[in-house]
Amino acid sequence: MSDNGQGESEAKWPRAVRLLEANADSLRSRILAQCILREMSPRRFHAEYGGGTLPKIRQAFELLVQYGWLELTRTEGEGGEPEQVERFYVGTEFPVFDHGTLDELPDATQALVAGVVVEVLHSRSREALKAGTMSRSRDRHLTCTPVELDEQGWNELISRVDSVFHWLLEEFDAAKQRIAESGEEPIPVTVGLLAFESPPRPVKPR
Amino acid sequence: MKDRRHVLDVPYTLRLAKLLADELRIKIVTELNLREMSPKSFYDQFGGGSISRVSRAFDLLIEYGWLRLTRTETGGRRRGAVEHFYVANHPAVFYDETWAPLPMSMKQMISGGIFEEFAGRVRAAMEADTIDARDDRHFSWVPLLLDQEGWDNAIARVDALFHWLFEEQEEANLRMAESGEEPIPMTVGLAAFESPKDTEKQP
Repeated sequence: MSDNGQGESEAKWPRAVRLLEANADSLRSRILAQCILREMSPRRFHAEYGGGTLPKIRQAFELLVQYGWLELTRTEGEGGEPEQVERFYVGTEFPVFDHGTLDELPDATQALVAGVVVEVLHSRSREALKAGTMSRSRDRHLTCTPVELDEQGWNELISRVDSVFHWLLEEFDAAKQRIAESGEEPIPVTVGLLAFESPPRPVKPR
Repeated sequence: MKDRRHVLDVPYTLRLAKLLADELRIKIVTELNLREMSPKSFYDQFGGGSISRVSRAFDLLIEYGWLRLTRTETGGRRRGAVEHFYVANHPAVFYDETWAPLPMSMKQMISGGIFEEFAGRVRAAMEADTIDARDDRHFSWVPLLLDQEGWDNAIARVDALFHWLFEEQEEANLRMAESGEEPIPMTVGLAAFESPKDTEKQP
């Protein structure tokens, strides 16, 4: 763990604050996502994904380092011009909001987090449609389903959604190992899971 | 997993086309996946133009296998008329063979529509303060790199969760009918799709 590592940040910042910072805008979410998949520098991210100016990208990287989401792995070009120095980072973990963490946040912020997740998913689906990856022969899943459950059903649903999410992270690790052994070309995948209480049913519209 | 598409000798694509041609029909199937309703009770709760328009939409959905009759009732305020109650046979889902041949513009429209629906539901829940009314809810998204086996497993898990929702809805309806417990309206959004290897530059 580096000096800016997760352990120190965990002690310095409540997890809810760290999560909030990681998800405060879609650029940070995108940087963290890419750094979880592979080592990345601000310059490389900017060259491959854009996201505004290079200083803006660097600022976002620095903030993610400060809050323990990114860890420095190596530096290239040391000894040369300061602007030529390239720092590479990896993501320390997925920014998962679990029940306890969400409860630490003010109500208004909890709602904001949901908005950010939907916005990021929408943006990624647009990219997938534009690139044609959503229309290939591979399966895909995209559903928005209203349900009306009792307390028992709600508890079971949340438990199942949580379980699928944590299973995905395990599957990610297992797939990394299989890919390392087989040399199979990895498939970039986006998965989003949301379950929340809706307002009561609308009254009769005009 | 039980495939509930084959309720008629009508191609599923045609059934989907009939359903998607009218927003009212989509709304009816969505609501009748949750509970039993008659054209009159649907109209009383959600409108839909006129009772005759709603009845015609119900008739078409029955003809194309989206709805099935559960019971009839007479008496009371019906003044001799018979009220027919229905439930949806299954949710409207694009399966691989129905999704793949669609033109790109239609895929974009459908996917965009789902996310708009999603965003609208999040906004409504934020405005009504229900989004954080409960201690437990789930908001997450993850980018993953998977092999084919991992992808197959992931899609199977997400699909299974989606289909389980409807089984659980049926069981919850039975439990609530016995206990009188008030239903909790919820929105469940599930997304799993292949992302581009190199995301296009954003401004």
